[in-house]
Amino acid sequence: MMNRREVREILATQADELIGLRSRHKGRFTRNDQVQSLLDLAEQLQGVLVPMEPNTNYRRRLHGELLLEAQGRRVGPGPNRFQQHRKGILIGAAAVGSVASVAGVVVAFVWRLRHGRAAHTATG
Amino acid sequence: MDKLVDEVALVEEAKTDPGAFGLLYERYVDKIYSYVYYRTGNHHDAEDLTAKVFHQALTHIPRYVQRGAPFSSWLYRIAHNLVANWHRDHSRRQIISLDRLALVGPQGDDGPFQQVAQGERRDALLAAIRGLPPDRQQLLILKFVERMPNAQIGQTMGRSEGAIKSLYHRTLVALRQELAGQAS
Repeated sequence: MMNRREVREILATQADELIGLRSRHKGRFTRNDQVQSLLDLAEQLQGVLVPMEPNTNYRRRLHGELLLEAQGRRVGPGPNRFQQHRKGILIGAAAVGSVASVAGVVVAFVWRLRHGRAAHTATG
Repeated sequence: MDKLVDEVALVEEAKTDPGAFGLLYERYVDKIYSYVYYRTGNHHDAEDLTAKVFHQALTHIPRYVQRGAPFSSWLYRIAHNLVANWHRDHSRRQIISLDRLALVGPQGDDGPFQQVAQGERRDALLAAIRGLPPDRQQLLILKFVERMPNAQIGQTMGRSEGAIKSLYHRTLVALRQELAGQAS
């Protein structure tokens, strides 16, 4: 009885043989019916899944479109400094904003503490 | 190895040179088209989505970073995402289009009845394939249509080589069950 790993390796080897990545030795894999049916199925898959080619006109037209688009991008305005460093600038701005807000809270706290003390001293 | 080095240089050139991008297009258009065709089941949508793949690639190639995987892996990932969006947007049922009828291998000297029977078997197999989850369809297309080794399929699908072998095994078992169900 074969284990899963053995079956997996047999199937992988056969698939590589079917697509020409290894030289083929037909019929040497197994006498196990369950595995043989999977090997047969793989052969059917190879027969059905054949490469498809696009229409020649379509191929040529798309090539032309892409070249035009690529040339348009090339002669168009390049990214300015902000666009080039956009991510860094945004992260920097967010960091500065966070620091400023924390500092504001600290300043407000200290200010309130001092004023509270001064008021307390004046009334006391 | 040389081919990979050439490709690395070509991809770097394609970031700024339209001609180099054109060479990449020529190298991969058939493969991407095949992939999309089998995932959508018809030539019209295959043409539409293949064009989108290359337009997106052209847009994003300046930010493409080489990480050792073939350039085609990146294109297949773009194609995979676009096909997934296409299935979601159209809520397509997994049906075999009439285009399938044109998908025939070399005709032998079999009589008309045998040809019909073969055609039916082929259609049943294609229907079963298109009923599989997307990752399993992707695996079969990359393996049998694109003839990729497991390691490259793994790079394209973001899995290990061992995981690809296991997925292939499970896929064959599921297909066999599906076909047995159809027959009974």
